[in-house]
Amino acid sequence: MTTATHGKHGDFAIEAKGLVKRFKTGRTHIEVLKGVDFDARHGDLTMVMGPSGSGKSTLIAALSGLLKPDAGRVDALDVDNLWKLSSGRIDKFRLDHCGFIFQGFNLFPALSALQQVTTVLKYQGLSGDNARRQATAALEEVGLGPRLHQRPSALSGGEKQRVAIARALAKNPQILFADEPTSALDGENGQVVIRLLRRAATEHGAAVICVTHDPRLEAWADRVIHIEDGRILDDQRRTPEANPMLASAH
Amino acid sequence: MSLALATLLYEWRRYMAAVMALALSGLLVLAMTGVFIGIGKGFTAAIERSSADVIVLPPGATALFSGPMGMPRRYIPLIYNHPEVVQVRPLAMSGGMFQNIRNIDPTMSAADRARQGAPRQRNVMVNVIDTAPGSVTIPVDYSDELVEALRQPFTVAVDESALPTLGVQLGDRAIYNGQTVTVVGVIRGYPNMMQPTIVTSRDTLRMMGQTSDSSPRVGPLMIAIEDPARAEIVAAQINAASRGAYRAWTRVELAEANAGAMFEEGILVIIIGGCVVLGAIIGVAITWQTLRGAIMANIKEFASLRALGVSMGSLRRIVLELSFWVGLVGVVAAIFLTWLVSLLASANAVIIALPISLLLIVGGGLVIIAMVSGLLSLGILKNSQPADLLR
Repeated sequence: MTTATHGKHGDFAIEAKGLVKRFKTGRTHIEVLKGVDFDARHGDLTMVMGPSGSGKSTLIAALSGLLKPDAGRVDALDVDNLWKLSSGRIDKFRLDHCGFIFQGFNLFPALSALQQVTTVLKYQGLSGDNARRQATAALEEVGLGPRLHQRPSALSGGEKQRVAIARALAKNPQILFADEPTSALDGENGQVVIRLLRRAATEHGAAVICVTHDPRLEAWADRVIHIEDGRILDDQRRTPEANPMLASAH
Repeated sequence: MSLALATLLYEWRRYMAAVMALALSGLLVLAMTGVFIGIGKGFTAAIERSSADVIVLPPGATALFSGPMGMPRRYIPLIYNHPEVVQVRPLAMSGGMFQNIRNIDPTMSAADRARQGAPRQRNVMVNVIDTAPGSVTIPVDYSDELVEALRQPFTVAVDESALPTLGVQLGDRAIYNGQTVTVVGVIRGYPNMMQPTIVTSRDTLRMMGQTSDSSPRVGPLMIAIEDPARAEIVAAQINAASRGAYRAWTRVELAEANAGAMFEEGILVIIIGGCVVLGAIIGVAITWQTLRGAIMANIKEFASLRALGVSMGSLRRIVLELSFWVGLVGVVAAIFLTWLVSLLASANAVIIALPISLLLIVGGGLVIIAMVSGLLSLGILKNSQPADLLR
């Protein structure tokens, strides 16, 4: 994998203002996001924490162009107001700039680890050889060099999540969204995953936005945002601990 | 390997229902059509495998058994006018009552005699050959020994599939139209599932007094030419000289017309049309539902591709490609099943003819059915909402 970096560490990668999202349940509307302002910077591992139902997943859906907010705007990279774009252009924006990691790994059962990654790269327009080379590098970076040709059924949960991370990182995204990436994993594999996210921020300069309610991950973050009832409670900038492995090994 | 193909190969069990539905739809149409073409072939095999390069029919005929068959005998010398024609023989077909003769053992008990049953009497079609060496009416797969045997007076040959029907065996005597004949040959590859067929020589028929050599009219003319490769050219030249009085066909051309003529029968068109419509409906319904289920099973994976920016159009292409491969596997399965059925059928003297053109048409139809099912399944992709993956 190339170690290209994006933007300058500290530059804004994504900025959202006044995001409002309501869901209709029966005859009443529930306001999940109540005018949220949010930003994330290149090189930061931004942790969004909060109890379930707090609106944190809805927030990253709105930030990433997956779920249109009822009000507010999102400026991402050099795009002014992402939600003004056609859905095709939003798809293209995500294809070019965004990586996604989900709680479930969502890997095609029929494809080997290498094919999972090359499939996405080919949609980016890479030729077969280039895609394979880049995918191999990404999988080696997440420590799956020896397991390139295994299908998901032959991989452990942690390995599957690492394939999913490689799939997201191989595109060399400037913004990386992770939704509860560790909650389906045991502690050890969770550490591996968060370390990879940390590295994506530090070494590749990606803006990593990680939604979690796993308190062990806090130690790795540059910034922790607490969200509850659709509002941001607090926004703390912190220095990641030098050796968060120890800090979080409890 | 593409995502669609890899998925089909890896999760083949999931797609088995669709493949089987397509295969059985294909089998339905192929087998029905093949049987009807086969029935036709039962009647025309002797001409299609004859050594005639060109066959002359009256002008109104669209195939051997479609339209008029007889022509004035004086056309024979007209055909000889073409310098490349070496032999012209009228095709004679005859028919009559064939009855087996059972040897009655006088010491046999009444019960044993009863068990033998009554002698069998069947109406048979008679193919007539000229036994002169190199005669144009002799099918190419007849051995010299068979022709030699048929050259003897009052001899017949019977296709092996007709032996039980007629109740005779090689060497048996039998009665044809009231006169005794001997079965001197058993041929293979000429089953006729509608009417048993026997072969005899023109001389035998004449000795029985059943030819119409004195008639001013003759049946189709079978023609041998110097260079069989020039059949098309010679046929065209004969036609040019005919002034519309007759029409020359090459053997291949006539064989195709014979197969096609089956489908001018209204009832056949209804039966086969019905099979096509039923096969298409069942094929689409099952393939569609199978594809829907299979896509639904991978909907989260599709949604994750959407999240990574892969467009809806690309996902649709994956589904359509998948449908195409399912269709292609269905075609292979259909042809394989039909081949198995045709083996079974030919063991029972039923011909299922599978010309390449039929396979291509049905194969293309199956791929279209699969693609239509794929198009119908596209709606399910709307469920691939990446926002649903965020919990």
